[in-house]
Amino acid sequence: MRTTALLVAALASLLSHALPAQAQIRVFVSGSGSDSNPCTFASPCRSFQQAFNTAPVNGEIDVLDPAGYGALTITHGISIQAHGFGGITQAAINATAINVSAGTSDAITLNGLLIDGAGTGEYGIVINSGGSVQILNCVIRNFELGILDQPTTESANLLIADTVASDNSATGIMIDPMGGGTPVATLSRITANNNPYGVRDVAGTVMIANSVLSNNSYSGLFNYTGTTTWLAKSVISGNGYDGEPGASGVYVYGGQVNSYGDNAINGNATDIYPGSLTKVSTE
Amino acid sequence: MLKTSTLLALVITALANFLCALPAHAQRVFVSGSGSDANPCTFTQPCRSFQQAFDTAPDNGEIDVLDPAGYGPLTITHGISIQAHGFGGITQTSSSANAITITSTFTANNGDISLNGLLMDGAGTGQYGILIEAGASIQILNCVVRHFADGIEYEPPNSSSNFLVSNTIASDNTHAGIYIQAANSATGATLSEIAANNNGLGVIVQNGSVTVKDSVLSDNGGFGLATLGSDATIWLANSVISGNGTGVALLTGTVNSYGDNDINSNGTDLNTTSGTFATVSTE
Repeated sequence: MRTTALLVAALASLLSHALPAQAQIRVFVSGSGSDSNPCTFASPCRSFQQAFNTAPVNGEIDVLDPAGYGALTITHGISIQAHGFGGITQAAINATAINVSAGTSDAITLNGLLIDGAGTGEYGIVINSGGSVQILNCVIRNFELGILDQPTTESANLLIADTVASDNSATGIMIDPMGGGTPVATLSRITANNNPYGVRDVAGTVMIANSVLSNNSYSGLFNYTGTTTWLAKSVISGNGYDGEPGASGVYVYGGQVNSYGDNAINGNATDIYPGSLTKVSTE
Repeated sequence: MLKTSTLLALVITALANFLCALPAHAQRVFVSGSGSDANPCTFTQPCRSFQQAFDTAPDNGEIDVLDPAGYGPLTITHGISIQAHGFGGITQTSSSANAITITSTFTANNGDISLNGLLMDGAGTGQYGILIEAGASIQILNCVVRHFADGIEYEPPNSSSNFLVSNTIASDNTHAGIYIQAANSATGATLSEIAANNNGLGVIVQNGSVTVKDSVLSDNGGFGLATLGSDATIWLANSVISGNGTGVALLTGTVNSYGDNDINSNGTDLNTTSGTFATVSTE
């Protein structure tokens, strides 16, 4: 009798406590949080990785205040809402701020992050695999390579919008899908500024619209063999002043750069090298 | 008497706690309206002033603003990133002082500076909003610079300097909204989506190759846009220049227009004294 009562009491206690019927979709991080917390609004976590590990597949990480939240490896669908003030500092050499290694149908959104490599970090964001990745309203600076898109599967699509990739020691944004096929990367209203290479398209199909590629010391836009880049309403200026052969605003190293004829390409050491852009029409 | 293993566990725990409390490298420092300059500028103990935060941060560190407040004038002497999120402010009322001075006495070689989301106000009497006398790369993003004698003055000694102003308003300044005196004719600057409004002069260029795109230069008492020296070249695209005393003034130098600008409703729309106003093609 007593045993039964005790059992019932224990069971009631168990059920009334922390087991949510469904894992919380939204998890929180705060500069005053702790990774021993359950990542709720009232008890937020301290790191992105802990928040990610706590969130369910396709959950959402919500940043409560300006702070650095540490490097992150993403292995399934997630949405990170950093509101323009959630940061990651990755100063370790050969280290990455955000590593996306997710499933081929996973959707990932990275919104409003400030990612700084302190001049020594290797990669800001690396995409190794995923279904769809969106990088929105971010600043990624002071790495060797700001954003590297190198998915091994054809299905990985990438959107980078309203994002600044600057002050990196090699390249601002590099699109280099390795698995064949033609995944499409769209760069909308991006700024690639003060890198050696601003945007480096090594493979795939890349659409660049309403963007600014300026003051990159070797190349504003570098287009590699077998790659097609489409260029619309963008500024490519002040690039290519490092004195190296081929240094230019747009280097059509191979492949094709299709221009809608509405780009301001000026003030570069050489505007377009070695030849010209292919003119295409809007519809 | 404690078991050895328990004792060891206690020691390790204490050590871990001790080590965690020591910031390995304070790459990111914080300011808050409720902070104090006697604090170490951490998230939980933020500083009160930008200068104290800067003096605490390492070269290429990051200053993170926690809440809306004024954080005092700042002299920058090495690479830094200031993330003010659109609500970190500086008020400077002294007619012989600036909100931000990037001084020629740089202490390190790598001088990449990013000023993001600051609100600078001279209250009608301050001298410069931002005075740039040094630095490898300067980015001014998402800022408001108003009510100074001159909003932003760019006069680096070095021809390889990079200057980007994006999504920024320079307004109500008595003399100039933005004044560019680059080291020589080839030094490039990009002004993208800026508004120069209700200044004595909007954007004036003494030297340098400056791209102005998607910008609004309006209601400036004198010139909306002007080239003052023979080493000044402005590339002008998709911008509005209206309501100024003179819309575009070339005392000498060159303005290359992409033919897609709205220049209207000025006292005089275009005044070419001895400069060249040319129409160039997009590509």
